[in-house]
Amino acid sequence: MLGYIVRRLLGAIPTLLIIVAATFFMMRLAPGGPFDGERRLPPEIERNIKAAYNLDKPVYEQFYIYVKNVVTKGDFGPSFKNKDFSVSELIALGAPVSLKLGLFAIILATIIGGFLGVTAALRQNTPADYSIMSVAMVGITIPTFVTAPLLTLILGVYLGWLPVGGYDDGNIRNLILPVVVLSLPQIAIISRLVRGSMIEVLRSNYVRTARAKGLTEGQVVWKHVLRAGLLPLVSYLGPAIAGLVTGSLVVEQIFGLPGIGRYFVQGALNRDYTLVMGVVILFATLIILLNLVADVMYRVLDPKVRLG
Amino acid sequence: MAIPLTQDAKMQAMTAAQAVKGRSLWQDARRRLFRNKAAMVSIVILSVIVLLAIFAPNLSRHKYDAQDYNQVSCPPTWSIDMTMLSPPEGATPDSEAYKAYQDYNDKYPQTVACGLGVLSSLEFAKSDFQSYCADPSITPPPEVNCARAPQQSDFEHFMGTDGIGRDLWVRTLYGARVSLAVGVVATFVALMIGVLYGATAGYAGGRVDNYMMRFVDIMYALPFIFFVIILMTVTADIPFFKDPFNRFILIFAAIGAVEWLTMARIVRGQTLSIRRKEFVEAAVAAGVPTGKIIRRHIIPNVVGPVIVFVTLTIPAIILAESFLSFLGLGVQEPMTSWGVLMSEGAGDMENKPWLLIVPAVMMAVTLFCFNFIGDGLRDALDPKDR
Repeated sequence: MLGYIVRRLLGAIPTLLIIVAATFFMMRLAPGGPFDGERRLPPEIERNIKAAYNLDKPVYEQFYIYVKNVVTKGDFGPSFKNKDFSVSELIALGAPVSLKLGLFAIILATIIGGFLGVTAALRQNTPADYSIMSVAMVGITIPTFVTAPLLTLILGVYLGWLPVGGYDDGNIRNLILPVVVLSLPQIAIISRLVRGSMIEVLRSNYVRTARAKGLTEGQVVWKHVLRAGLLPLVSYLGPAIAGLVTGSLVVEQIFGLPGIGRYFVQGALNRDYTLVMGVVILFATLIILLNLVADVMYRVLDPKVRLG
Repeated sequence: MAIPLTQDAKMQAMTAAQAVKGRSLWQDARRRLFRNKAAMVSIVILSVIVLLAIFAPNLSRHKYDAQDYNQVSCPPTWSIDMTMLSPPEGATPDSEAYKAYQDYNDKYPQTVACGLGVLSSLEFAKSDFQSYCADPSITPPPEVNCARAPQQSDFEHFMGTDGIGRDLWVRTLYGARVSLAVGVVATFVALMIGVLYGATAGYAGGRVDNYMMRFVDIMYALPFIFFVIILMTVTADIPFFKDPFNRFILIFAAIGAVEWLTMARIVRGQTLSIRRKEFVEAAVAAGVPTGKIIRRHIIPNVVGPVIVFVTLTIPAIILAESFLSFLGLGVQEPMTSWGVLMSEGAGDMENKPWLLIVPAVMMAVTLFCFNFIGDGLRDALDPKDR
């Protein structure tokens, strides 16, 4: 098991390097730089600025310097646009917000989605099943940027229960709406996923055996069906994180939360190379690690898959 | 050794064989699909939406980018009570009818202004019609249509107008064109790359397969939106991509270039597992040539999941396009898509709910249909999952 984890971690290094290289060269080779403003700078000043950020060197050399700094010093460089901040500082500011948001959302989505999926599977082809699945379908088809203002309007403006936006230093009441909005599509996907796998497991031979040997329905479900039926949830963890990242770009924008997603969109629009690179590296690392966690958990939980 | 049969028994066996004529995989699948009510209803609704998207923007009285200055931010016409626009004739200021008129005007000033806008546009058109069309010697200006007298319905906006007076229904249908086109074309790109890549990997197997799939894993590690956002921003300053049409193509390519990953995985997995199945082994043992094995056994088994995936990818891409549009990276004005319309509508849903409701309902219905059709196809093509 340890060998497997080490091997996977080693395999992640070239993966990350390729991702970094792809992003780096895409951003550098495009026309327009971070210092192309409305007003053209005098040539000497422009030269000095470019020299300060190493932009006067050939692209491959810039890449080498960048990777060297990241690996040896953990230094993602200065932000091109937010003058007084380094990228590491910006990420340190935004990461707690985004991680909190994502973590709460994934927990909520797993609990509610799992519960709905199991309920629908156990009552397959009843009104309960149909209504859960229709609601899930709605959850998949309506994008976050519609549910967010809708819920804000109802819960924030008309009923006045929750704040309409802003972060307020992480006040839990400010996080409720963003978390709910972010988790809605995931709830929908997870409940469909769990329902499908539960139905498959419910029909399997060993469940029939469990029933045949006289276990009560509760014992069958709790001891036999759930363990196998919830397994796909574990392998869905990776895609779920990717989905949450996508969603958080929009949710942070709508609710005005100071998370990483906003930096990313701003950075990409302003061509703030170092900031975009930093965010990409952070998210890619996170996703690779979580995929590894998911694979390890899967192998621990599923006796059929033994580590090679 | 065969048992000799009498002539009679032979005849009986032959008619029996004819009676239970075998059904092919596809006939079976079609029968199952036709029996699925949700999928069939979805196909009908979707066809209507597609036909509307193709024809309606050209057939409509309103142009998708034409502004009606008399009706800016107007609610759907059917919600305007046209009888309340002017005080009832002969009513004294303290009669019931007059009070109702005053209440309506106090309560919905914007709605009343819109109703009056319809009437004043009509008045103008009528006077133009009279002054230009009565005398055949005058050539009328292009905006005056002498073939037909102007009517009130020509100036009504059935689903309301947006913030600069453009007809929302026509824009929604025009957006349907863009969104559906993005969905279909990007899916096609994904299909082509994915099938070729996946089939090659699955067929080659071994080390080639290993490296090819490792590359897919790497691509998977990044949320697709990253690539697309970077690509869209990087190309924003290239003159070639400033042209709306080229930008549009870029959106297709960007989204399709990411969605092929899943397709490649599906096709590869399916190819690998089918190659090892007993019936393929049996065909090989029976001396069936490779080409025929691929045609008769591999392709029909790969096509099923691919079709299902295609019907589920189109809605996913439409949704992805709407996200991009929301972030301001999608199609540009005056072109529009459901995503653009919805993000505009979401801005002021308190005062102008129709701007959100109309495109959102259209898009939700379309995505519903695709999902139901996809689910129906899966049940039809892969009966063991039911």
